[in-house]
Amino acid sequence: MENTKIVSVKNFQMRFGEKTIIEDLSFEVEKGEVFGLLGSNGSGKTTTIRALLDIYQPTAGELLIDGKRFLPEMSGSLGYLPEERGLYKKETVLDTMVYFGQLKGLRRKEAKEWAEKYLERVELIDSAGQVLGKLSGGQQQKVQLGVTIMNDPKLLILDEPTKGFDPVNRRLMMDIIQELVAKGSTVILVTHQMEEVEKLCTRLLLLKDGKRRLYGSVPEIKRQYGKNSIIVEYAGSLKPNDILFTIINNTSQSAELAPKDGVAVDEIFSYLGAQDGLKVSGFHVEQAKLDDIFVQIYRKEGKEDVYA
Amino acid sequence: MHNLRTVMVFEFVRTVKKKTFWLSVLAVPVVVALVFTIIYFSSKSASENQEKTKAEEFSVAVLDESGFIEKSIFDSGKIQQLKDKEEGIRMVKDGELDSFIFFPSNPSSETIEVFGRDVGLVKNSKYTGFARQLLKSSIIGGLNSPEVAAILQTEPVAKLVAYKDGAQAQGIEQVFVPGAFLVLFYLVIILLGNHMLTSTTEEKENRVIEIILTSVDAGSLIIGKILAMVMVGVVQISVMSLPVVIGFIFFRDKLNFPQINLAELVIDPVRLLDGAGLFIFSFLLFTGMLVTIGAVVPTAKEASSFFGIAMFFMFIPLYAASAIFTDPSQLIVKVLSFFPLSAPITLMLRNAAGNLLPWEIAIGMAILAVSSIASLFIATQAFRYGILEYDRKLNLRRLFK
Repeated sequence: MENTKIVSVKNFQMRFGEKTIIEDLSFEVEKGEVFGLLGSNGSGKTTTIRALLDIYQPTAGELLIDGKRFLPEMSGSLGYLPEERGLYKKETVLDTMVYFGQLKGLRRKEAKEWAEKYLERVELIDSAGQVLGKLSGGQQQKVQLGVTIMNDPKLLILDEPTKGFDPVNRRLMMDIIQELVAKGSTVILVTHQMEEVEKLCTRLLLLKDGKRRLYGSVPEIKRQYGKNSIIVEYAGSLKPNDILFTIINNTSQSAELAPKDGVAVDEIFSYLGAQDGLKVSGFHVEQAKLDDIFVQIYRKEGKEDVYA
Repeated sequence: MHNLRTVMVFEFVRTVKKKTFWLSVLAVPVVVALVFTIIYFSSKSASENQEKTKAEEFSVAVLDESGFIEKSIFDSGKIQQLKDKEEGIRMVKDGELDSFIFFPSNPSSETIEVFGRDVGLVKNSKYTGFARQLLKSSIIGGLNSPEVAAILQTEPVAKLVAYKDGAQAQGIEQVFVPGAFLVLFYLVIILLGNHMLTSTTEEKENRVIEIILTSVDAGSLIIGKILAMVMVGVVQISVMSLPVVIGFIFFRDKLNFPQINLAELVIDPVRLLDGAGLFIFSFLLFTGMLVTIGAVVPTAKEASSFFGIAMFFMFIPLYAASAIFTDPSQLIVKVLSFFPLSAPITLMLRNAAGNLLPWEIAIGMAILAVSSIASLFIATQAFRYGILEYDRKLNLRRLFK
């Protein structure tokens, strides 16, 4: 039976001296999915990625990629964009890309061809012979992205990928991620940006203080932890109902209602329709936002400020 | 050792491709060639001037109270004999005479007084030289024995044959081959130190290391860098030594090269092997130390300060060179021989001087071997973890936990 898991982490623990960074973490990433690894600063996301890529030695546990512990020999199928990133500023664009291509197992000629094709796509072919340090920040970001996706990796790990990226490069990155996913690549997105997660991720893992707090598919998590709200547009008088809902916001013509636990949307709709002196002109359900769910998780333990 | 060759080639090519590298490399032979040219022309000009000065005749008068000066020299009329010292001085002052020499009654304890017309700082010396030569040749000419005269006229040749443990000891020729490792080590430190230091800090400052470490393990990366630096060193030394080799082959006599007969060089295989071993372990210790420094500090600037301190310890034995050569039994020499940072230079100096005992070389080599392995281990750990501590110094305790 074919293994559908590209990443498998079991009982991972990481300590630096007396300090425990990650405690008994287990999760899996399916082939072909976009997986979100989320958490506040210091929650252990980057440490987990570094241990997965064998940059750090885990204190305990098993971290596997394609059923094996990661080795540099496997870098040909990996695209990694670390949070702390940079390139050789004194080398030329082409030399740098060719070097990274060779490190990923491409022959020099192949790496050069790949790099030139990419540079043409991002309109940097005229700068191929220029020293990287002389390019603008945005141009350097494009090269950085090119280095990451060289050799069309099977697994793409992007740690805070849009950090420092300008809108043009952010869009370029999103397009590239979607292209790679369409080709069958798996993406692990380590991020703070909930919009990116909502837009791209199929499943996610939320870390808090080195522990797993949320894990599963996005709809499942929303269903489990999020509360949908109901937006009602009306004329007349909207009266509160302690059994069915709470009014979160109320203006003269519109209100946001939070259903009470176990109350179906239909029940509220029927109730409002039966009210004298109230004419409902609009009624729709708004999905719970991941952002709210995460703030809720952190707020529970007084860590809202960290995540904000 | 995955990607070792790729790293090595990249590091080598990117170093030798830089204009600044060639400027610094070519600057040395250019300066050396310039120095040699200056020496050549200066020596040529000095020798021509000497000949010219010798050929220049000048009028001389002598007042001899010692009685050593041969009377016959006054017969030719070229040298005038005076009876009054004040008259001689006056004649020089008035320009009637180029020089006047006054030989006192006892020239061995009293000063010969020479008065002359000023012809420049250097050329003025011809008057005193002539006075000394006149006295010397007059005295030698008066001797009856031609052998004695010959001994006094030339530098007697003396040849030393020294014995050690009943066997004939070798002379200065024995120092050159084992001493070459010391010179090589010195060149390596001077030429490669900064390259090695910046090649690790550069990756930290540029934040490029995390991507690299997914394709190459830290050990291979360090070894690749070391090998590249060795290749860079070979290029540097070859280019730098080119003018010296050309000068030695084609202009040996004109450039005042020391007269070395290569056939007389003594090659002691034991000391040669000892020298090679000491060089290799010292090089590894030095490299490990530089990589560690580069990995634990945030910038190349800070790394340079630590590099300076490390170099001070490395070269401190040179201040004790006299004791190292003449009295190796001194405590300070023993301490310097076995303290890891000072051991490389001390042991190589002692190996060149030939005063290392077998047990000392064994212990010294063992200390250097252990230190170099430990240094490379720490370097790898520091590189692996320290290089990710981008903006701060690495806590060294973390390397071992």
